[in-house]
Amino acid sequence: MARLNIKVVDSYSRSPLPYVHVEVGGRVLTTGLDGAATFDLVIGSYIVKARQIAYRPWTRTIQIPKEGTYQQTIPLEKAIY
Amino acid sequence: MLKERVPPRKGRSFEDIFGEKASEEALILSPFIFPPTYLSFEIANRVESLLKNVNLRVVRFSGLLASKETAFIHLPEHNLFVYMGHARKNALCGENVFLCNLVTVADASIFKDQIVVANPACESAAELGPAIVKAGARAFLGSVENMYAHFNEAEHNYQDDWFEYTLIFYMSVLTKTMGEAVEDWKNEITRYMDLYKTHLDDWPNADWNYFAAKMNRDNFVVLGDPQAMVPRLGFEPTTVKERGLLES
Repeated sequence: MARLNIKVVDSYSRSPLPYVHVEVGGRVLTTGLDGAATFDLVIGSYIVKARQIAYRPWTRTIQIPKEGTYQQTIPLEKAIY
Repeated sequence: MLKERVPPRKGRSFEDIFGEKASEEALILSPFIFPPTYLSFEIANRVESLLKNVNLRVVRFSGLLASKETAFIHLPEHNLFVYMGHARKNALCGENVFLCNLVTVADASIFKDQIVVANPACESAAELGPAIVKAGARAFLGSVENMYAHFNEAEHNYQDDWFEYTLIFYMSVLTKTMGEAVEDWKNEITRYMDLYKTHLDDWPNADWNYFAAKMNRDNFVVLGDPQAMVPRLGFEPTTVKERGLLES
């Protein structure tokens, strides 16, 4: 097993974003007040999506090549005026 | 002993120089710092071109120049005020979204007899818009809720759609009543919402953009007189009067 630590931040202020829905391989978690969400994954390729209604949707494909701990920062861009 | 007061000096207004009220000018303010104002800045570029193409005198300030001072100095000479940027219920923010004081409820009276359009701008029609209309503006067009940007995504360029439906809105603002312009805005957005609805399964971001477009459509209102129109007197930039001004 591998561990993927995701941190969602505001792309401008770099401050952590809570209550963001993060989807990895079909499993959805919501970030805590620290903007973090953690997924335990098997080796493979995953589509990562982050959604918060006031921000531009974020989607990327990531590789988990071997067991270990991985970090992924997701900078969300504000979409509202 | 009472000292005789000197009457305040009257500045040279457009009316003093040209002998007519500057009833066809537009003032555009578009901040440029916080995301996603780089997109509204681009819309402002296009709207500026659009207005100039129909011979409207346009004064445009962007970035740090889109300031409270700019608004207060230039507003009295204009009849259409366009703001594109961050806003709150009781203020247009300008460059500093933390101070958010480019135009506040306390400044509402500076828009007397004007048409004010805040698009895109969040929540401006909630408290600021009613205050501006109450203080004598002819009409205020804005949203009572958040307004959303669209972006260029891998599967579809939603940003271009947004630019298009917003430009159509501004074209209507110039040629129709404010009520009709808002109606055109809503009809145009509905066309794109229908498109996104048909692609909910194959465009990964169609649902988010459908929601964003719906928010832009459903919460946009016209306050004041829906029959108000931007006055159009025609403008020939090379008249004797204009040349005289340029030479002085």
